[in-house]
Amino acid sequence: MSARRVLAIAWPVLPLVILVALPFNGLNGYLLALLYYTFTYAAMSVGWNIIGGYTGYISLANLGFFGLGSYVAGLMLTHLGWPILLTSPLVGIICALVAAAIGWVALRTRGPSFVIVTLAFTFIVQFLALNLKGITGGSAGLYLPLLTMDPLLLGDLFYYYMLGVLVLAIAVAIGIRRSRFGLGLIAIREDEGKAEGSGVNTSLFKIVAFMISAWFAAVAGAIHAQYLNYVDPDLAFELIIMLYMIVMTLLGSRGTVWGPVLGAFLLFPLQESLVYWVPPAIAGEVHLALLGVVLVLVARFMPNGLLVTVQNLIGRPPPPRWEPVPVVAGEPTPARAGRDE
Amino acid sequence: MLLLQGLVLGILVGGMYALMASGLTLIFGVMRLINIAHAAVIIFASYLSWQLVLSLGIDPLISIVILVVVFFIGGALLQKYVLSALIDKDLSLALLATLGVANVLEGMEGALWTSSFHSINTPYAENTYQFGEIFVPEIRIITFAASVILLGGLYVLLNHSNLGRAIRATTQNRGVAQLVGVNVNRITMIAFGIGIAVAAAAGPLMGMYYPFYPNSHWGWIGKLMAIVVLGGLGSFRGTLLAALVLGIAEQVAILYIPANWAAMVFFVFLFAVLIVRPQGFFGHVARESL
Amino acid sequence: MSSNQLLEGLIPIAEGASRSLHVRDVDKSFGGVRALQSCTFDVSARKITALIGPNGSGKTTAFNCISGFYVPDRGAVMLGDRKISGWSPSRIVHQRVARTFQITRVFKRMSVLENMVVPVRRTGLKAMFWDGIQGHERARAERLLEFVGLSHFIDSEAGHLSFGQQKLLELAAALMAEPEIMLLDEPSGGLNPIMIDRLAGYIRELNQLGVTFLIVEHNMGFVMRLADDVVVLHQGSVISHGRPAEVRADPAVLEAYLGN
Repeated sequence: MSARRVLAIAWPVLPLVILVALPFNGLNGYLLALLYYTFTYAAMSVGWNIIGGYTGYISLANLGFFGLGSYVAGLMLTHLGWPILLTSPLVGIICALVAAAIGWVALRTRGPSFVIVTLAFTFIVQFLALNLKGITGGSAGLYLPLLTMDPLLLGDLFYYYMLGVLVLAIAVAIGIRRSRFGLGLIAIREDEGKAEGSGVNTSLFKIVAFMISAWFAAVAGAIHAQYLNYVDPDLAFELIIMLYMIVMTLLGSRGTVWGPVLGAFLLFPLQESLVYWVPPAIAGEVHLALLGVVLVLVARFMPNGLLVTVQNLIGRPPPPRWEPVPVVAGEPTPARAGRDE
Repeated sequence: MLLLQGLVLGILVGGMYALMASGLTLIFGVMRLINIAHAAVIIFASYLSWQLVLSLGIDPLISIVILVVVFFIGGALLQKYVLSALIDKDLSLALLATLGVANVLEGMEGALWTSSFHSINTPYAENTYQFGEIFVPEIRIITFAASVILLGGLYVLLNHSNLGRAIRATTQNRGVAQLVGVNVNRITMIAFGIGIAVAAAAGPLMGMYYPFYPNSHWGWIGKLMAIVVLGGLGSFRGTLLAALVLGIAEQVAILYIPANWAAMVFFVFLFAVLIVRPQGFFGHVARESL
Repeated sequence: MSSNQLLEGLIPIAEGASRSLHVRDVDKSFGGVRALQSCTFDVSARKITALIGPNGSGKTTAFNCISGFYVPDRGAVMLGDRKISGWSPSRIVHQRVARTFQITRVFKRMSVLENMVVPVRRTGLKAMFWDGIQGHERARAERLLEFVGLSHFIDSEAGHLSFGQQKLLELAAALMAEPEIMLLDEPSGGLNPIMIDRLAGYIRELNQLGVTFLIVEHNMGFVMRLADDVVVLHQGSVISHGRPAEVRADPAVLEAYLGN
């Protein structure tokens, strides 16, 4: 293997090592929290990218899954005593199954029904959270028991947990990108009719992609519920979460593995630092409006996103994905033509 | 009789719903775009109308005239400089742009007017009339009448003018329209502007009817989408009918269940339509774009 | 190396195992337009059948009904003795029925190799996720590209290929799905005579391996040289069928073409 290939595979290891080591160097609470949020957003963006970026179907449901994940995890904790840090994968699966149901309604056809259904879904889930007061506590929210643990280590715990989720998300994205499933998703985005006519089961592929994205959103929501020790219909379904996911993915480069990660690491700290310049009373609104402006500008002027635009500028060709893999001995191979072109 | 009350109120609110949704369906027709910002535009117009009442004492019904002009121009500019470039490239980008616009509007509203509830109160619309056993608040009659007038104007524009013909041609078959000499880009820009203007016209009416706050457009856009899907995306008639059906369904539901739950009626219909008859009332089953 | 050696083993079709396609009494309307009316014809296994007819006769509609893109309003499409009308297009592809499109469709922003590898032969979990794009997929793609003479372009962006080359790519990609039956929608459209001959040669070779063909065509010369059977559609119904010479002499066919 050439040095270049080694570098191509190994380069993320260094930042990962740094991120793992940071808390040991006495990172202050604010930065720990900042990175926790960044990891969370990055993981959710990578997840959103699988449906929104690879297949091109814009999902507005991931916010709904985030909130649903928060509530399911919170209720499991308060009613069954199951710790969220352990149940989060299960919560993810539950929400993924809900995604399958929604996908069955909205993804078997092409057209705009998916956006509409996902928007409706998020609204409905929030509505139920607000109005099923007996179950969810309504607008008062759910108070979750604190973790029995040294409070000083709590920040580290959530930091590493979400870092782990992010690493998992990236691994999944890489796996998808290199697989026939990922190729099928991209084919769906490029020309869905042609993909279907090539034998790609587009309905199934779309639904699976949607389920995977829902899993990550739900896990993030579940963990965040424990992070705040509180779930409430306003926080769990805060629109800016959805907007962040989408803008991060688009800004970074949708349809790539690292684009959403880049978008998250750039955008979140940047937006947070804005807080210093804006009167606190309208900080939330300014955030929202600003993100909206960024979204419009990126869509209009840099729709390929940063990663792809930069790669095009420096003339770097995309990495080869279909390297001939040495065939295992004993496996039958068709005779090769062995002729030069 | 209670049911009759629900029916009457349903028709009255349905008229306003139809006005609110008609712009959305028009925009979808010419651009195949779901304008996520549509309800946000309506709410923004409500806020502006509220401000005009407060600052200049302009009656909300009169403010409609001002808002229609301003928003038509704004909409056309948005289409020309942002959306048109995106529609050709990638429809999902245009969709995201409208999402961005919706949030910009919401953010601005919160910054300018805080997040508290607002509503437009008109001193002349405080009465409630009684017809037999049915009670009809005056405000609902007024908003219905205004909606009908505006919808009528839109109908005449679409069906009895050259512009309307060009819009309908572009909606049905963009390529062919271009071949017969329609400047489709210009028509699209104008149609989008009209769609936004109609939404703005609905703003003051909605503001007189329901309280609003920056985030309320999310609830509204869901309802509006249910209406246009039920009616058939792109079909003006369909939107009218669906708005009436859903308005009636909601008002009848309110008689039996709490008002906020009654809104869920929209989504029940939405999911039912998508499962049973995805093209809605009058949408055409597209020869699948293969 | 001869093309036949190239193709050896690529499309396994055992003797006697081929199935025929049967279109039975199919109706299909769009709004008020009746595109197909009681359309009935067979595509015999291992033969080359041509579907011809004047413009608007319903050829592409029939095609789309067979390949799953339209669902017939009435009637059925049978593959062997299984009813496939109503199945999704991808499911039909898994039955080894592949198609090309009238207006050539390739994934323009993907490379030629990626275009070749998209077609799916089976959707097991392992095939989807674990196998990825293994050596024999690529080797298979390389051989098929060599068969159509596109080896040189394997890593080029498909959109950069010439029109004729894209058509060949479409054909080669369709072959990746190991089709028993190939549906070609106006394969010679827009090609120069040399390319048309080349294409005819490929079709004949594949047919000799046992691949069944249904070809929609306007180019009469192409059709008459190549086809074993010809089916003539007019206004949505079959007005003539038989060997090319018989159909050419059929007065009903002449009238259909000239009478329009």
